[in-house]
Amino acid sequence: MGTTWRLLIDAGPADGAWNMALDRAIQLARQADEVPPTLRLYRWARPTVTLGHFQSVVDIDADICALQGIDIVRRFTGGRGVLHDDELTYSVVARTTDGIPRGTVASYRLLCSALAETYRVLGVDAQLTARPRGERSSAACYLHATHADLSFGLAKLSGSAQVWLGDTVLQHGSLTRTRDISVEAGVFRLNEQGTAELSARTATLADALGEPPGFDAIVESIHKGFERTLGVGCEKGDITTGERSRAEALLAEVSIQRTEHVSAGLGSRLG
Amino acid sequence: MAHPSDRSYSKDHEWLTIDGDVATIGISDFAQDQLGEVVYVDLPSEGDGLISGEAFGEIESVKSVSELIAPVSGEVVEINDSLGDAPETVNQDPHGAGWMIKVRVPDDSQIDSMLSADEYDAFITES
Repeated sequence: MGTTWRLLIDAGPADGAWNMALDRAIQLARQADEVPPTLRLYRWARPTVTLGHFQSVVDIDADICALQGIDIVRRFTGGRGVLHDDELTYSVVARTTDGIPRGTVASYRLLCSALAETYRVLGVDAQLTARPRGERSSAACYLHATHADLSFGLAKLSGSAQVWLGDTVLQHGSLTRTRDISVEAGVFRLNEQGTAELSARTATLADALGEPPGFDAIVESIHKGFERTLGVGCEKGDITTGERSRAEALLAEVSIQRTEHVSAGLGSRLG
Repeated sequence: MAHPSDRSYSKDHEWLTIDGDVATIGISDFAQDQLGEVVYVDLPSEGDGLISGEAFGEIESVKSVSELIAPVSGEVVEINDSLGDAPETVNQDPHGAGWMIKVRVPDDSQIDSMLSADEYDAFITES
């Protein structure tokens, strides 16, 4: 590819709705050719469940989320629910003219190869998931492994999701440091068997390395992983005023209010 | 990959057949292959208007959401309800049972600018 990408490293953990709105704002700006292809790295101010674009909020236990101070927001990307907490999240926004293959599987393969290289830099032998496995019907994304995911042995290590806008892809996903299985099981209403499967079929960086690496080490690794795999240089930059304005305008679209939890229970689909 | 020659194609990978003033629209075999396993199709409602070049729905596959782009302008007169329960039909039979919407097209001259099967095959080979 040989071009220069923008590297955005958020100054600190942010609200979940802002995180999702900003990812989409960057995609809109890239599609309009206002910004270069971008790799963004960010964290979460509070534990947050993100629902897939078409997923109903009734898939999760909103009462448990409220009791435990867990936010619920909607992604623009596909897939199932993800509980974000002790993780670094990446997002990539690029066009096919930036070297991203148009096909869903092909683009996942390229971008997830960069993620696999990131894990190797961290000392984890991550592999692209060769064939889908697990429960597609589960509300919990981490109980279903696809071509979009990385595995560590037979356990799902990192999941990603995409949305395309014209020829511009937004792909984002998690590099999970640690996971609280009991909280996640409550959020996704997993029974004893589901909880055991979540524990057995998923792995975190702490599981793979014995202890979780620091956030700075993950940032440095993902920077290297993407530069090496994509053959690009990433230079630190900032969001534009246009992206900030777009993100602010999108906040209402991704936020899920308490009243919507109730209406969803009566049968309406959100999003 | 040769596409059926009995229909027209758009560069956004939709196909279209016309019967009188009603066009049937779906996505090409190439498109479904690029998308991978389709798990959800979000379509407009009967009576909705379509504007050529703008999104008329969305499709999800392998945790990836993509827009469906209207190849022509017109009014939706029928949607393929069966895709709600069986979205995988889009993969299994994209040019037949996997059709998505039927649209009343008041001006069929807009179809003239679409691609023939040979032109579409050449387009996807080049792109």
